[in-house]
Amino acid sequence: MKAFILILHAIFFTSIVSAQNLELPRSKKTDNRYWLLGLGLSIQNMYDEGISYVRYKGTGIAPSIGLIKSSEKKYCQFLLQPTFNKLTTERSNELRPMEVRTTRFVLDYQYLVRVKEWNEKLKLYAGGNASLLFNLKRAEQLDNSQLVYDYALSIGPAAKLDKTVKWNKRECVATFGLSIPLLSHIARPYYLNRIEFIDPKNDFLGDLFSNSSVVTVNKNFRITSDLSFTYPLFNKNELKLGYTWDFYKMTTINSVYAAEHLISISFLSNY
Amino acid sequence: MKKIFFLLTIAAVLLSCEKAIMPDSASAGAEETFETLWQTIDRGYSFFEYKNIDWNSVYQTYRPQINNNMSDRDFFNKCSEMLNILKDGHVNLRAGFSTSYYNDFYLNFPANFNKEIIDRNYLRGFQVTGPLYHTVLSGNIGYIYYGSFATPFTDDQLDAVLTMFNSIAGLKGIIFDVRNNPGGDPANAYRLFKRIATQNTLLYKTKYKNGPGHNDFSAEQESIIEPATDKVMYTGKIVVLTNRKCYSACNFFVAGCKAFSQIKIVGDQTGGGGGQPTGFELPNSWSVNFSGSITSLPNGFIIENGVLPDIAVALNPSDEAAGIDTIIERAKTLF
Repeated sequence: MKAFILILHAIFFTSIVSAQNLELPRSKKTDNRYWLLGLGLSIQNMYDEGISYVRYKGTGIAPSIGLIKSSEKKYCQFLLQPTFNKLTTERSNELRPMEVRTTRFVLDYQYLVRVKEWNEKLKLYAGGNASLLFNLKRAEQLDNSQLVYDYALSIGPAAKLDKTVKWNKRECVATFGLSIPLLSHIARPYYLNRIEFIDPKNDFLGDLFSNSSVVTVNKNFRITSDLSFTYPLFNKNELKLGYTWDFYKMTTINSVYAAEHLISISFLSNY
Repeated sequence: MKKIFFLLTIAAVLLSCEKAIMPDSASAGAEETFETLWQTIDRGYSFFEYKNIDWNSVYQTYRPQINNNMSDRDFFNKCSEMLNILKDGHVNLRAGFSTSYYNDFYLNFPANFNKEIIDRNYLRGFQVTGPLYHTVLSGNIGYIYYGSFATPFTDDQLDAVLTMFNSIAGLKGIIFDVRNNPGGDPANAYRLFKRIATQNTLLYKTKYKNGPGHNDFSAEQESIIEPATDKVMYTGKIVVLTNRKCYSACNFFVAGCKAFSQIKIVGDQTGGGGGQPTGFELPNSWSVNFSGSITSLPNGFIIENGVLPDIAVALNPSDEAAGIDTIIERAKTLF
């Protein structure tokens, strides 16, 4: 599956991006809409008290797909980022591999308006971000307790700072963005990660949400920061290099600390 | 250049925040690993009160024997010795080079099962459908041997077996032999019960550990089986054969059989295993499994130490020498 996604992205980028490297001034049209298709490298660090008292880390691939609508005064983004990782520890060995496989989905909707413009090249946008996070972890060494998940549906403030810079005779944009959820609906496994195999009507999904609660930052602290550099291509398309740091600490019966570093390259197709 | 430097600085600060906020890994030494092991059992094991075990005194006994200089093998042996105090076949310490186990639940009792006799004198000419070995015994009685609930059978396979038995004119009933079945997936037991139940039937009740205190349990949750009326049903008499090696999911199956008036249990008490196993990883890469729930029959009987048969029968040595399975022969008289 991972190889297929990698090959697909390689073909896509090679065929499309190679035709884009023509000089064009940045458009002054007020409303721009983009499809975003990206591929990234995900580096995760995790400390999950539902699994063990040992730090796990690992790498994986992170495709992304999204929609962006931007104008002089507004910025709206809808982004889906799944990542697939295999985490291990420094204590892993052949007899005891200590592996955790993670499948993590983040679905973000961000709506920002321009709140400050120092000059044509430096602008501040602020608004809100709604985020759905679901991180499913599988630690087979724990047998019946092997499925551990983090779920959070959050809303909170977000902001980004855009700085227009000239590079390679083109007007590029360097962006620093930040979002912090304030209110979240979260869920983690029951005590001992139990899944009720003894019950003939074992309902994993139903149990997932029956064990949920609405919390603030004291139980779900999360911070997401984005650094990106957008380079204009032919026909208002763009290439975006990005680095995202996403950290959360979620506390229910026990606590999980998870951090993801995501280095990505995305193609923004104007439509 | 200044801008790039500024951005890189932000990235570096964020990386440092993560390392500062996230707890460090616990030490992998024997002493800290023992503390984690003892605490994990203390907070999660469900049968301390039922088995009258003073886990604090166990700590006082074993903690002085642990030190960071001991070898992995010695540490493993000492921890295994401590865990065997729980007398629970669902408690295992997995170290990679070895796995601890408690088997006295059947080793201290007669076997009451001889597979050679079954193969040579009862299953000769058998048919096999998935993991179900079946035949028709003398006296027009069906016989099925199911060796492990870890080996699943499909609904289609069960349809085939039940259709075959239902088609036999004058079939008096079925002997379902689960002796020496070490357990596995309870879902296979439910697949069987659905073909027997004529209405929604309460099998047993389970309460789960939901906190670190020894008496922190959830409310009892009922396990109710619904009939699978769209599949092949069996409404005749069933005799289930059991022995001490019938454990875990097999034990749950036999416990569920108590809910059906057309099922009789013959043989020896089952070995037990009435808690759902749960697991946790230790700082030194080992992992421990232990029971995290308590299941009881609707009348309140806790099944951890086994389910009693309706008719207790032991394998007679002289019968065994003659190639006769006393328990099967006794079961045949019930039809």
